[in-house]
Amino acid sequence: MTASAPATPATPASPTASSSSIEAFVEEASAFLDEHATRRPTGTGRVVWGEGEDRISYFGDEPPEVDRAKVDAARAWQRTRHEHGFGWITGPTEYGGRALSPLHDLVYDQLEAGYDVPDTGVISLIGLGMIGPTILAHAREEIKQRYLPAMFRGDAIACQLFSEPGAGSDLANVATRAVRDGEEWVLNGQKVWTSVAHHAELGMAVCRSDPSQPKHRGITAFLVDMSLPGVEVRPLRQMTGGAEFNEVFLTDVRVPDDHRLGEVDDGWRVTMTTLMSERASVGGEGAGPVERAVSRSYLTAMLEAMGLSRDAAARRRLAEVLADLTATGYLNQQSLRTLLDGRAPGPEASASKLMFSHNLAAASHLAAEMVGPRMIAETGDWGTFSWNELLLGTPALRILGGTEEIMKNIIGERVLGLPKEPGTDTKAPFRAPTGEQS
Amino acid sequence: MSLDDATVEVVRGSLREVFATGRPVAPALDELGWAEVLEEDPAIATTVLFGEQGRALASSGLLADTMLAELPGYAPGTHTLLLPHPRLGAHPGPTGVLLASTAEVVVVPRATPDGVVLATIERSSLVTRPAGGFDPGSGWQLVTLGAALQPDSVPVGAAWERAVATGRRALAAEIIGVCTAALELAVTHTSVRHQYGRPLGSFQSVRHQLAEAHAALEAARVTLDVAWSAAEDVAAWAATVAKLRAGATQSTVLRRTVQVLGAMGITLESDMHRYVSRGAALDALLGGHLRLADEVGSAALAGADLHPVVTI
Amino acid sequence: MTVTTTAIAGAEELEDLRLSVRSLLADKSDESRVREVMESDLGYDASVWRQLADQVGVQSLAVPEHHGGAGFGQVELGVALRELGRALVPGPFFSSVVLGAGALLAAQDESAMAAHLPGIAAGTTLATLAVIETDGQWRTHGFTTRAREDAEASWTLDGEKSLVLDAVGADLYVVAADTPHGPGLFLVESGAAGLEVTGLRALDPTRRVGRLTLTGTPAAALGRPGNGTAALEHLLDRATAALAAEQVGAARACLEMSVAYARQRVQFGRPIGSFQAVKHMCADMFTRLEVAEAAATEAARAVDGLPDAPPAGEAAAVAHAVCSEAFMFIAQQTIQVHGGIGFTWEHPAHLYFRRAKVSQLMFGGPAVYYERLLERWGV
Repeated sequence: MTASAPATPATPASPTASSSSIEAFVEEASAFLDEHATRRPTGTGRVVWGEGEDRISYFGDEPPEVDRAKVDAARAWQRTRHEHGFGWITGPTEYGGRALSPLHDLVYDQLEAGYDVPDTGVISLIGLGMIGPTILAHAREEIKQRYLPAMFRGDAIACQLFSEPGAGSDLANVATRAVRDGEEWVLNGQKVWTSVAHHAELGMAVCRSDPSQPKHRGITAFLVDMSLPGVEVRPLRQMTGGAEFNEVFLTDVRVPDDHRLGEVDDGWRVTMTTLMSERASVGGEGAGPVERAVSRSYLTAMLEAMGLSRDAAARRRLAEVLADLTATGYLNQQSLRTLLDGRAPGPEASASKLMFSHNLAAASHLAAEMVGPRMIAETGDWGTFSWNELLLGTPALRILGGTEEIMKNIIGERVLGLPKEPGTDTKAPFRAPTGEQS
Repeated sequence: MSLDDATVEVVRGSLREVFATGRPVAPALDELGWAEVLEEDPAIATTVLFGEQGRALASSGLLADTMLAELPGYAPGTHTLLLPHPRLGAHPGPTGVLLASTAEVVVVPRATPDGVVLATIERSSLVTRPAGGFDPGSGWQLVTLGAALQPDSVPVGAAWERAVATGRRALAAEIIGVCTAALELAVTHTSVRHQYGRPLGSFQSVRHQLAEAHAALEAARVTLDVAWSAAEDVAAWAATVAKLRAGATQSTVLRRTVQVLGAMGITLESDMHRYVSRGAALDALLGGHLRLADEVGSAALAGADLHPVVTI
Repeated sequence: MTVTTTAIAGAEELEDLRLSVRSLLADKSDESRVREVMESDLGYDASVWRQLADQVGVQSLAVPEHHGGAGFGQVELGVALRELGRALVPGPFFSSVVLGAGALLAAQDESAMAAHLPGIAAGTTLATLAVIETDGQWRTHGFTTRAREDAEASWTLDGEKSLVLDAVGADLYVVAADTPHGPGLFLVESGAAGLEVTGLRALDPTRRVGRLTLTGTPAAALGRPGNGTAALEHLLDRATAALAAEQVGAARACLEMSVAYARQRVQFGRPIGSFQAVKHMCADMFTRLEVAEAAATEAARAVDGLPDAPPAGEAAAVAHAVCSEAFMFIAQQTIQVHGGIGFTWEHPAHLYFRRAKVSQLMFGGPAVYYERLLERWGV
């Protein structure tokens, strides 16, 4: 052993300041969960071919009444959480939060994963995860008090009114107009790709308030009460046959100025608050049925059920998928450990997101190969037709939270420091004001 | 004995119109004097016909008719052919697929130790159900045969192999037609749609995906041309390779066309999902590309002579 | 079979270790020096080898304290291996410290460990492992090399071993051979009767390989004869976890090299890194590297038996597959990003490419590692 090598056996990591309170928190949360939910039997991860739920697409496409019932159950569970202090673990106390650390939040999620509870993604993914933080950062005090407790109690579901036919990945291209009229704003335009809009009480709309400015300026964001006159939600059918997404038409919708998020024409900055939460959440979020289907247990059961246990080509492809899947799991666990150690997560989060969609695509194509002709010409076999939905639904995942291409740009530019493409449209006015507008 | 380019264009135009109007295809072909075109240049005629059917996402019994023409004694129109169930590749078995056809007599192939034999049965006596799956638009019916086949089983010898080869060439052409239309749609979309102040198609990642799709498609086209000009003793092998290549191509091409359409690619508002479904469904008939790759690979390992096909 | 790891280094110590190895290599084993020594007779720089041993103690890191080592584990060894991989340092490190010492540890033969580990830890004994035979396949049983025991309980070996890392110049060979009791491991010392050692032309000039011909060669049983398969399986977990660390170290060098080039090289009036085709290639390399890094780290933690780590068999097999594929992919893309210059002898891209290919095939290649992964899961 020489001087420059690790000199002494390390002492165990010293307890961090919060670790004792974490222990108490774990105890409290476990007691709450034991009382209000059923612990999952151990070994539920194991798939027995032909048993259980045979629906695996990422996007629900159940009949409306089933969909509605699931949303009601989600609201009820969120309310229960909230009443017991687990509705908004990191939120400020004045809005009904517990003011605890993100670590407490993670710990709670880990604990809850061991119980059978309703999936609250419809409330949390967009509303609580993305719009909540935006309201907290950019809304006026009375608006925070009015909406944040309701959202975290499960009473108000919020959706994003972001994408438009002409503004997908290039969100700064929004054309929905917001025109000031005294103490109100009048909104006109069309939004697409708004998931959960058909359940939402609230929407966050990104609008063009000054077309004479370059496109990233001249944008203003608003909180829109979805029950206002002029808000119309229409379902958008997907390739999978489901209609998880909607188009939302805004026609002379009058929004009070106090519902504005951030300053006039400063909506791009507000929107970035929301989007940064999205890019962080899509990759890591446990996707429920998909997580189950894109698992070693499920894919292995499928290999056996399709009689391919000794098919060298199928085995090889399965191994490739499982190797990536498992290694991505390691990556996520390491990010979690980093957080638990109180360190900031590194750029591996963006790698995780790309791997998530890569793995999902690879697993669904593998499944399609294994199921083969059965998928095309027959229905009724457990576990075969549902892969259809996943096969066709996968592209949606790759587009969510920024397309893969955009994600790769972000990695290339922000992580690796490669130069941007020369911009052609960031300085020019969004659109010269036309005569018809005041 | 081949059609000149101008004639091919005229024929293609007429076929496109037929498929666009959705008229029944068989009588329309009679009107066009199809028999003569087919005799003049079977390769181009078949490729154009099925290519147009694929492009239009049309459904017909043409595939069965084309295969029947190789099996002496059965007239397309009054007869149609029961195709082997996709699970069976090109090997007849107890279940099969009936294409959209008005023919009242079904020719049923059966595998016996002495080769394939054919029997006929009244369509009305068959129990059928829609194939469903993810291409309900195909109009296919699934048939499970009972024991009640008519006893006039006729051995067809090598004719079955010729029929399968013909069917595979036709399917390859149809898949190429589907992919061509999908690629055109993707090119149009990415040329018209602007993001970040530029047409999507001006971004390298989009261009390169479309370029890869194009290259795969052209390779499939050339492989099919080679299959048509293959010598008789290797025609079946060449047709298998052409079908394999076309099947693999639809997977390559359609994944990319869906991706470059972005969110539009997964809505029912766009036709893209129909190309995806049809491409996959056609691939499954008479042997999907993975199954055929396995067969071709096994044959190659067993010492099959590859030269006749690859010589261009 | 557990390996005692008596020490666990903290994050700061690991960083210190990384910096000491990196600065030593930057100073003494830069690219031009590597090119010089890889073409020399010895094939590596003996003074660099000595400094790694004397100044940093790299060879001793994962050797137990009571056998003259520092008593650290795979995690710490991995830090050093990343740096050695990054700089493509030629030398018997992998063969002696990972495979030679690893085989002694895996066989759990106390007297052999006491005899040889101190020398390996000090860098004065060079050991290597001879498993692969003339068919080039990695296996853990069914060897054509035979071991015979005479009346006085002495063993002799007959057979031929191929693709033996750093065979020429090694002092001690761990040879796998079949015995009447099943596969076993044996120790053969250099200069033993009937031992012939020949160097082979290698794809990777920074990693030498050779052939052993054994004709009635006297050998000592390492562990119990018949126990060879279990020892080799165990060794394989350690060796593939170590290889994974070396692979990600080298792959990271490739990524950094590619990104630097993409930022600086101008074509069509713009740095090529601003073109999506190149930018996305780099993003893909980064993504594969991050996943590989995670797999390598987890494999090391698993082999060290850390409480929250996955089973060692799983993690090592995952890392073997994922890191082999990632390094191969990244080395290929590095040539691609560099365009024509990446194809020249003067540019280091091909050296990494060679190392990637050789590493990928070292323990059997894709067909073997994917199948092993499924076996580990009972599929």
